[in-house]
Formats: sequence, C-alpha cells, structure tokens
Amino acid sequence: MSTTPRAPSAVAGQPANLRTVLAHRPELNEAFGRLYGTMWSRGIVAPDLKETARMRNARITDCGF
Amino acid sequence: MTWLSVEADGPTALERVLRLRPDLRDLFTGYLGLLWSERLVDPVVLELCRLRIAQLHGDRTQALLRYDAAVAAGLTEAQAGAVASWFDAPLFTAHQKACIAYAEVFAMDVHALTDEMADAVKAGMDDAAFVAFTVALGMFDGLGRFRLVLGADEPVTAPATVPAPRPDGVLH
Repeated sequence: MSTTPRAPSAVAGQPANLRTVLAHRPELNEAFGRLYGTMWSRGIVAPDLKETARMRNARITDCGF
Repeated sequence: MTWLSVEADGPTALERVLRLRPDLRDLFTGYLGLLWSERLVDPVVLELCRLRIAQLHGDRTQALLRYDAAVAAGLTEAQAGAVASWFDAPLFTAHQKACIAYAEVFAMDVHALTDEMADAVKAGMDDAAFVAFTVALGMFDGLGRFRLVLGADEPVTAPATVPAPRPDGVLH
C-alpha cells in the first residue's frame, strides 16, 4: 500500500483526503458529491442498511473509514 | 438472468435497470460521462483499462464493446484484442502497460498496489489526470460488478463500437 499519499491535496494548507484529492478535478468532485449525497440523503433503502453495507465493505477492503 | 422482477423502459439493458432509480441514474451518468466527455484522461488508456477490468470480471459482453471516443482517439482492434496478453504484447507503450498493470491490481487486490506502480502511471500524467484515472477505475470496477450482479448486459458475440458515456447520453 501507499507509504505516502499518492496524490497530493489540491487545497492549500489541507492534508490529502478524498475531498481535497478529488479537488484536482472540481467537476468530478462536484458530480461525485451530488451522486453520493443523494444516495445517502434520499432513497428507498433504509439508512441503517446502507451504513451496515458500507461498514462491512470497508472492513473487507481494509479501509480505515 | 436477472434477480429483478421489473425493469424500466430504456434503450439498453443497463438503462432499463438504472432507470428504476431515475434520480440516481441521471447523477451517475453525469459523473461517469465527465470522464469521457471532458477527456480528463487519454481515452485509449481509459478504454484499455476498462477492457482489462471487464476481462478480469469475466464480463464477456463488456470485453467486446469498444467506446467510440477511444476508437476516435486511436484505439485499434488489434490493441483491444491484445489486452489480455498486454504484458508481452508489442502494441502498447510502456505507459499504457503501466496503466493496465495498475488497473489489474486495483481490481484484484487494491492493497497490493505499490508506490512504484503508481509512480509509473504518474510518469505519464499530471496529478489531476491521475486522480481522474483512479476514479475511472473505481467506476469500471463498480459498474462492471453492478451489471453482472443484476444481469444488465445485452448479449454481444463480436466486437462492437458503442457511444462512450456522456453526461446526457445512454449507458451500455
């Protein structure tokens, strides 16, 4: 795995994370935000089921989030 | 085979599934379409990696489709046909091979990606393109699995060129 962030932050003074790395492509960042935000804030799947699936996926892929 | 009991109206099998959730479908198409319509990454590199991930998924339909944006940018059928044996194929540049290698490991075992593999990809693109490229791999991997799980693919028996995703386009 990466020993250092493989892509730097695009936001001056802020560390590399999903938001600041995606900021290298603002149009992608905005489109992702609209899609991901809609998926979490609306819909017909219960939020607790979505979160359970997200956490299980994170555990399987060894993602710290 | 599909586990869905209903499907929406639409011009392709994928659209008939995605349009069951039209709000998400439009946002998803807008997101995926940006990668192709804005040429955030060389379309030939994107297509080679999309095809390789489809092969790794055992997705025979997607492995036979060629996006028109990549063909227009110079992708040849010989290259598309050689993706499975890219490692020793003479049809690809060193950078294209580095990108395919990165895509393979991304799809199979993301923790096995090394700094050296990432550096080889970044040698041929700036940070913004590298970010877009990695986003694209996630889309190819996730959408490929989505198609396979829900049976959202048309039967295809020979290579066929289809429109690349566009924010206002149709997904194949």
